[in-house]
Amino acid sequence: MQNFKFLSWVLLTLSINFLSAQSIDRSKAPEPGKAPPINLGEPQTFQLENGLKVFLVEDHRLPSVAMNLTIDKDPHMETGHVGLASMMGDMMSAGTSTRTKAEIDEAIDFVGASLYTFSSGFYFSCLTKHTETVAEIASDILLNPAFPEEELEKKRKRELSSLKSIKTSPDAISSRVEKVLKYGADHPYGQINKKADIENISIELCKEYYNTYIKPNNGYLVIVGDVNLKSAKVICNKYFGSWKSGEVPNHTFKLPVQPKGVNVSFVHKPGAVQSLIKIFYPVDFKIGADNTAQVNVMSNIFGGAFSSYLNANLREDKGYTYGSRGRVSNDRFVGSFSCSASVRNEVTDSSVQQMLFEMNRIKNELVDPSDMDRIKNNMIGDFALSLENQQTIARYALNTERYNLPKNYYRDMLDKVQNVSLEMIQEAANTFIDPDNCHILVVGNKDIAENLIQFDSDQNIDYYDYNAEPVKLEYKPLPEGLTAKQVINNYLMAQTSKKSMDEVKSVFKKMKSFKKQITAEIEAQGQTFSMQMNEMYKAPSCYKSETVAMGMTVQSSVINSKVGGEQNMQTGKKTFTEEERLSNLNEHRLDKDLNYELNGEVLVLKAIEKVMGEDCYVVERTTDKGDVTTDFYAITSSLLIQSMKKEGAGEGREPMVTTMQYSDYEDYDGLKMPSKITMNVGGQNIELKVKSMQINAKLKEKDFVWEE
Amino acid sequence: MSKHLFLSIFFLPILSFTAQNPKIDFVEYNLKNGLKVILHENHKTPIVAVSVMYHVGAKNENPERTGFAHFFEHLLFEGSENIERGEFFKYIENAGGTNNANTSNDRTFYYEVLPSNQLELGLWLESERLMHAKIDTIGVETQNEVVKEEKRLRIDNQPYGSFLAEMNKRAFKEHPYRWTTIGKMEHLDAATLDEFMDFYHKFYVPENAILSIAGDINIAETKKLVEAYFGPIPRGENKIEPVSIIEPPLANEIRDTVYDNIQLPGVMMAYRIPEAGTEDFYAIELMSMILSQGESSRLNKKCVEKTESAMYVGAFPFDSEDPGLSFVFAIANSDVEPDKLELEINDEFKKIQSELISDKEYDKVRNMLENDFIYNFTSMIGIAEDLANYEMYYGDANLINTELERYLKVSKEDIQRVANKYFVPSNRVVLYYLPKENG
Repeated sequence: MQNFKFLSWVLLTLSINFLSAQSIDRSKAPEPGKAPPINLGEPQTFQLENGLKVFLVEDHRLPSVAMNLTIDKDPHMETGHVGLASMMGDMMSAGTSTRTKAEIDEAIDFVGASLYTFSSGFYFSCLTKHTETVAEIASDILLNPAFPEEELEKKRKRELSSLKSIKTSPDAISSRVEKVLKYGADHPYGQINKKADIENISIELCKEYYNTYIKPNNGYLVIVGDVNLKSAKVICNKYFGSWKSGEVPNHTFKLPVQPKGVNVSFVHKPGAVQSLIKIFYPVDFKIGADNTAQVNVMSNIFGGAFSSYLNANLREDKGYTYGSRGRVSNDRFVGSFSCSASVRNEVTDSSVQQMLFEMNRIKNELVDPSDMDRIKNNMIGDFALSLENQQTIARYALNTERYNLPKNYYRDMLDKVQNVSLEMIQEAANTFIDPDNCHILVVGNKDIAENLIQFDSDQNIDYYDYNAEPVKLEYKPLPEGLTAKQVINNYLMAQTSKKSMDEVKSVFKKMKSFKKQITAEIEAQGQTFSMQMNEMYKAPSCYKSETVAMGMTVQSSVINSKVGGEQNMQTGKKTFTEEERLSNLNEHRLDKDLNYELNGEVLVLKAIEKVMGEDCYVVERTTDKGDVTTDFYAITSSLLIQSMKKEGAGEGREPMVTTMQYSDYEDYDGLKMPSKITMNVGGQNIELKVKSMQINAKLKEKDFVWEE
Repeated sequence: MSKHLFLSIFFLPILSFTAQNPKIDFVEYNLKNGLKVILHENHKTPIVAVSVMYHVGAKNENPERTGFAHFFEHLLFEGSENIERGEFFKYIENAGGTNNANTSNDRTFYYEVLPSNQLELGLWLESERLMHAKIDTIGVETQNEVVKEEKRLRIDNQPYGSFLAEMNKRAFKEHPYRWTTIGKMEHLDAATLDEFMDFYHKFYVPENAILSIAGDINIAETKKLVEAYFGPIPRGENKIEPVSIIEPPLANEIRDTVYDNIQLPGVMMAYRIPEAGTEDFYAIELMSMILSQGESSRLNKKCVEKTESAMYVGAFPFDSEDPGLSFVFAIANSDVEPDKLELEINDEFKKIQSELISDKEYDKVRNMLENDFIYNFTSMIGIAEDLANYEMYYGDANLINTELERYLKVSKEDIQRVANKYFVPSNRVVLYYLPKENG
């Protein structure tokens, strides 16, 4: 090892005296000796002609070598086949143009080596004497993967089994749902693989991925161990020199948004004897940020160390948990705050309370100077300890290069940590700790879920399954004899303020037409724009709608007694079949709720569940096409407050779920209708407001002309 | 291909490697009070690992007070006459160190890894723990709750988490290996403070411990410090009787079904095997490596790759001081019946019983061992623990340098012999893990 920089590492500036055997004072901790210097080795580097950058940390203590290839690429969406990258990585070692998977496994095991491949490269370690053997296999895997179909099928089968077993692991469930809630399903970090994704991954997709991203010009090869520079150059050129460089696409994403208010989510795990609690949200804390040292000191005091606020309170003081930890972590693109504890069921709400209390405490109170000093010492010590493993030195060098950090970033971090003050810690806490705007996710037994309502800003708990799909939990038994039809009738009577169904029917009979205007503000691609939707209906068979955004008609549909069709910017113009014309018409009639059964829908009263803080009757409607809509009627008002529609489910396909929440009912010419509708589709919320609603507006058949 | 050929001719392999197979030098001696001390000096990194291994584990427990040994692993961080409650961890954090502890059926192990100028702090903390730990009601009550959470976290709330408990209680009827280290929570609830004190005074005595230190130290100076901190600790007053219970043979196969909160069925087996360090145990380890170490191992190739019956399958012997168990742990793929998977596993055992392994497999497993041994030497705490283990179980710390020879002495015939001797149905427990109907 040549290029060593010697650092003078001073933990505490204390003098050293070796005590003679008899003179120790056990009543207090001994003073440390003189701090040893720490050697932060600097790797040797070189670059191949194809652009591959190589870092070498020589370490001749043991006759072994490890090589780790990392290919840098931006995170990207894998919509429809989440998990493709990781499958492709796994598939690289499943066969090459000249070797089967069994032959690769045999060759690696035979020399006692280990070799793993990932979407971003490979890692192997072996005894020095086998370096060339293993490097040659790694090279073959990297340059000539064959992606055999039968190996993909095996891996797919195993993935599907493993997905099934996730349902029983609280940690796996929690981390999946956390990703989706924290980053959103439209961010690469918020993607989780579901059954259909695994089924959709194909050899073609693997190859395409490989051809797009596996290029040396974005790669870093880190070699640690018993190799000198000369040998390393020979090996690299010999085995990775012929790898062709190429263009790799870039991707950018907007920062995920921190939730407004506290949002409690719950996943029911049958038979759970503990609740796994997590509190989290995304933050803007990137690798290399100027405030890194102070945030890390704060984060360790709050939840990183054994003696942290969280663990001292929940474990050592209360005995609620085996351990509670939390931290603000940085990332190249988006950071996050997350803290967690697994606690027995009955102290779930108390534990959440204490976690929030500690979040508030670190914001509101200056930390104790002795806590600060201890954590700083601990961080500096950790740094020194971590250098026992030569991989650490390699990692620091790699990060410095990859993330474009100042040359002495890691070495200077020690000084920066020393210079953090009490005020800087509080400032960091006030920047990143936010107990008032966070997700609280609990995976546990549903019996304790309702105790958590107190923490939610809207007094409403969102229930999910292990796929982060919304689910409803049954709370209360249904009244005996009540039917779905009665629930809907009650709704219609409440809507029209009538006492019998005969009266309801005559009210609807008199309503011959309507004209409605709805507005919405939509956020997309970082911009907010407004949208307007106009609807007209004339009994018995005319309907027209038109959606206008930024001065353009983005969607329109027209139905009259003979024909109908729709037009939108993406799919163009399309005339309805007779069946489509009728089903569209039925969906927009004012009295549609009267006619579910006439239209062949099957109605089932399922349960009583809480939605938006209100107990609701849950009615499930299934059309003859198999589309399912679940309606939630508030028990106290009888009004419909939420509707969830699942469409297009099929073999290996996840249904598309649209959730509509109806609120602020108002009287429009004798009919109570929601003036506010919140629509959620694909994880995005759109809020619609009814601007005007006129019943029995004057409309003529010629207002509804469809031109093919 | 031609390109490769060209390149390999162009760059003739001219690699030169310098590292030798490592040898661990150490000094070993006893203090007057019976404490065994092992010191390994190594200046590569300015850190030191300070560890104490106590020869007490779950097998030393009163059958009505199971979980005691592990409970002490928690209790003995509560403080001492000179260390306030909650301060133990803070001293270590303050010094920039890390620490932890773990408990097995046979021993309890405590350690700190510190910057080397903090050696004395490590000695002070460990000597305080041994000399006069604080055992009081607050500590017992709090740690009782924490241990219960540990059990819920690691066992009750984890799929297949009850595996060890279910196996042990069927595989052993007499020997204390019949219970698990975490123990029964009722036992901990029922225990009085006096019982905890008695356990401490009986087992936490210098003659029952090994102090093992590895890292950036000076041997002579370290010896002085060890004497200063540990020398004044008196020997224990109670004699520690070794566990003498001998478990009778199983005689017949035991089969049972466990219903758990799981989705995929599991096929689990436990075979009764001799204690670690015996010739047969080494042969069993080699046999298990052939069956399940690496992707090319027999069970993996058969059940995971070929028939695709299993999502995972592994065979591994537990090394224990008294005769113990060798496990098979297999999780079926979705929609695979457990008996199909079991038959395939049984077939692989039959094969290794009826045919000698090939020369190639024999070489493979020896190469794997050579590799595995090197990686034992990568960290100071790993070396400190290995030295203490070898000394405690076999009375020979130098096995750290020589144990590999014992493995390499195992012949192909030995492997076949132990397969036939121990891995027979009458010597095993078979459990099927099946999903509960309604969680």
